[in-house]
Amino acid sequence: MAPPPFDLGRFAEPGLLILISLTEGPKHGYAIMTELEGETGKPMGPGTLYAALARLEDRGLIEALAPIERRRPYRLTAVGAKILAERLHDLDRVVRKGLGRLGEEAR
Amino acid sequence: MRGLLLRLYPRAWRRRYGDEFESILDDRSLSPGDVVDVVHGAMDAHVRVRRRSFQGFGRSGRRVTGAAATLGGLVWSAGFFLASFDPSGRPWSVRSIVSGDSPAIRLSGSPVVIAGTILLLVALVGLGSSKGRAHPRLIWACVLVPIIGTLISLFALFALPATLVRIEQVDGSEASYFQDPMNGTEVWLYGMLVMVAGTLLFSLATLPRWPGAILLAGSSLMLAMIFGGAFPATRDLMKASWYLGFFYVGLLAFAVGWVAVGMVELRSRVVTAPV
Repeated sequence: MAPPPFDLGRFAEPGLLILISLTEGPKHGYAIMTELEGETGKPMGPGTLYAALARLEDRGLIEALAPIERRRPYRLTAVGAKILAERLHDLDRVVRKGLGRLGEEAR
Repeated sequence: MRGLLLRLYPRAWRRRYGDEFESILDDRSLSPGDVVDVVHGAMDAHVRVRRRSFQGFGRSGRRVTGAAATLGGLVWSAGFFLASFDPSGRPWSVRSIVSGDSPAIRLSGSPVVIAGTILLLVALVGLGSSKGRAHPRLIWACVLVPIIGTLISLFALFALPATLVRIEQVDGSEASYFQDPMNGTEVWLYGMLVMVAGTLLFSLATLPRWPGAILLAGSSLMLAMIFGGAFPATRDLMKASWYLGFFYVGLLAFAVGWVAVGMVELRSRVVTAPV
């Protein structure tokens, strides 16, 4: 049985953040890295970034475009957008459930 | 420093990502944390590259296994069929093979049996490694039995000519006989018995796949016929007219079963999980 497309193991979180970053349009590695560092406040090392990018590309969730000088932009594929939406809905359910429980506890 | 870090990655990875990765390293002032992260990433890339080459080996391994099983089943059965012709010219002397009391294996049939045995050996090793992922202990235990039998029968086939002696008859003519005790034919017979019994075990372990069912039927029928002829109490069975018919039906099912197992291996695709 083929594993689920978003089964990225320990690169699931960086992978998810990269997909979210690419929803704005194609970006190269450095742009993704600096944007994520700015938004999450947590640095993402180059090793982690490229390990996650390689896995996302393998699964067809992102695709590489023609390089501009030495930088190669990546863009979200249709499959990637679908998987990301499903993943975010799943997380949203978990977040709502968690927040709801916290609310109940607070009351 | 940056060049050194890049060189930690495998060559295949550098060909694909090297330029862009190097540009990121150039654009960024590397912290100790980044260096650790890159080293970690390089180790991960090596694991991924090696896993992929192993999956590539898995694909070619299954092709070899499938071809060996298909050819091995056909060649071994054909060799056994050829060997069942008696040197004296009497056909269908499988009785003397299974009872081990005459030099029934013609040396002309031996190379074909040897080739078939080697092919089945290759197939068994391949099947053990490919099927063994599901139930490693069970499959390997079942595969080891026919492998041991195949090796014994192979040894006997190579030793066969050495145990053959020519004896002058009363009328002055010469005839070939195998030396006693435990001549090459008997050793081959015992090895072949273990191989067929092991094939039966293997087919049981891989059921309910249909090729396993055919192999099971063929192995069972062959074993029943061989044991029927091996014990003094039931040896008279060999005189029955239906005996050889059943034996050759078993031999045919054995060959078809191996061909079916081989075809399934040839058609199967290795699940290459992205890593």
